[in-house]
Amino acid sequence: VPELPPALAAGLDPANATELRIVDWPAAPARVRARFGRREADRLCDELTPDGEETGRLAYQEEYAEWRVVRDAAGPVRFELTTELSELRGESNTLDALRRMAADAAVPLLLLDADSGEPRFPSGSEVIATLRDPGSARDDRGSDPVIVERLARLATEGRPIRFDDPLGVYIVDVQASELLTPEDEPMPREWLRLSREASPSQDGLPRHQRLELEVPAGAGFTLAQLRSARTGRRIEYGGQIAELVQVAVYLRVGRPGVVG
Amino acid sequence: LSADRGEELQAGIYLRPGKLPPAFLFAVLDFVPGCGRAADALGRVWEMLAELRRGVVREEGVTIDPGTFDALLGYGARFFEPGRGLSDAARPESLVPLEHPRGPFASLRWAPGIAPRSGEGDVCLQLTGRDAHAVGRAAVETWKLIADESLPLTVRETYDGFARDDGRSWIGFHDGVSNIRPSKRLDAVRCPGDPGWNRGGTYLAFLRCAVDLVAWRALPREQQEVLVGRDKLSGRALERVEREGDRIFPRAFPPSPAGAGAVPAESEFFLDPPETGDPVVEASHIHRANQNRAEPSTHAGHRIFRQGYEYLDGIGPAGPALGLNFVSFQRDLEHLRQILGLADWLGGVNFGGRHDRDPGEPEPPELITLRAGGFYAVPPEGSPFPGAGLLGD
Repeated sequence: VPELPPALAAGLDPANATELRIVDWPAAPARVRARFGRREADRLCDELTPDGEETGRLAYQEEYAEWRVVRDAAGPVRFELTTELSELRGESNTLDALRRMAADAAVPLLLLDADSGEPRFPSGSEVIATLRDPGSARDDRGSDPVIVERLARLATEGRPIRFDDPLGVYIVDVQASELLTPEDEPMPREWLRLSREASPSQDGLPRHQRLELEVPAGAGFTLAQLRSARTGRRIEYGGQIAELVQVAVYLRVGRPGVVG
Repeated sequence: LSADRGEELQAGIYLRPGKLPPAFLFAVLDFVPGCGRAADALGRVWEMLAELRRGVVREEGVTIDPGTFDALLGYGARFFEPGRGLSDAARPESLVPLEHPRGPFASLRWAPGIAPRSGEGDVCLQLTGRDAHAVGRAAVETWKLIADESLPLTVRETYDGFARDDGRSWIGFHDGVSNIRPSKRLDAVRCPGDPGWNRGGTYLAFLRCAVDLVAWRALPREQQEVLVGRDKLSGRALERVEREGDRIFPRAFPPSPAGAGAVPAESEFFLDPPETGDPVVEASHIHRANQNRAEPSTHAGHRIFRQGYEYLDGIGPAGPALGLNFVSFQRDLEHLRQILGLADWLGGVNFGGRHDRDPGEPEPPELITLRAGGFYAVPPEGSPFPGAGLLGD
């Protein structure tokens, strides 16, 4: 594959790249939160047109994870989040976008530190500034900078790199104990339903791509009565739950110094 | 002292390289319920502290050495509670009281018997200075001013500490080694503005962590090194753990990372060790605290700037009561929450190690408990005092 940088080309042979690396980020979108503030951003992410079109999802949910919230008159009753790239609707949440960004970023790069004068690894922003295709990554997202920064660092260390097979974005953590019931007790983890494993997990790695959260009937309250320990607020928007969901890509890498 | 910071940040945040001022005192203050005059009271305190920094002791009318301490003012979650005259939008979203009695974090729990709100007040004063006298005098002068002028404030509690001059912590390892390089610290610290009144300020987390030194010292050196992720003597990061039967042998990176291709200088390698691929090493404290190895400007890196001070509360028959005043500054408290909440970071264990361990590996120890703690918004420098605009002054 001629356009692949040497680090990714060397990783095409799985035997060259076996060590696991996990690159993770929160599912709640960083860019819209930085621009509008957390509360307003969370409202925008759930925005619907009068005929139910998910405009907020399309415009703002851009961390390779998208959600929808089912509501009744009192507020949210059900939260569903997916990382299945084939199901994501935002134009930057695609498999092709992820691959293009990786191919652009996995090249060696060292910078001189302004204070010490010593060489150092670049930040995500600094990597993005050097990409051949400036549109392949966004500096103000949560996902892109951390992915490209890690790829550049691994390439600089001279390691073969590949995405773990099957390539996907997976749900690796849900901090369910940060959601509190009306009695101020942590929400039972059983109320979460993780599903859609990409393949049987023979290596023990979680590969869930779908998350559903609903308070069981008979509990006497709904999702809207849960409180987030992060903000002290009742659940109004999906972003308050998405910020507790961590998603990741799995990389496999080889030893340092292998790729010249 | 106050030159060691970004231009807008308050004094007491030491971003430039070098040693911390040796003495630390953290004072927690509450407003008297129902009394107005909050802005006036803070203005009076801040004015007096400014005079003291210039060397003027108000009551005695004498002069002392100027510049012996720095004072930093923070606003706690309680300050923003309904009924305090502030709009709901004024409260930073992640500025909340620490949960009590459960929590407050996934694997960092309150010590038994700790009263609610220990370490949390309407406002805090972080005092750092050249010696215990300098910071103690600033605290006592504050108390005297409140009493003499009947200001509607109470100094509810104080916590002291000191910077060690050997770069090590109570557990005998190098500490603060993996802190952010100076040129990038401001990226980790400075609040971009949500809410707008704190743009250019920061957020402070204060966690007074008791360390079970008796339990720690019962562990053999190789287990301690595996839990920390560094060689105890040299401070070099571990590269791998070798095994022989049920014994483990931690191996540090060589002083010069030969064969690693184009990598930064040795000092950089020491400060910011690479991932190793060894799951035992990756479960150590230094790796769990910085899983993504990202620069501070990278949102998902969850980087925070740490500025801790040790403490010793005395020694009794059960051993020393000691620990660390963990103080961190971050642009959003969300980042500390993520570090202490995510299972693969420090949410999964109290200090380091892994639960699904192999023979010879240490069980993740319950080493640290919380004796006090609170989150505070630290607005940028302002006149007549930081955050005055928030109070309509």
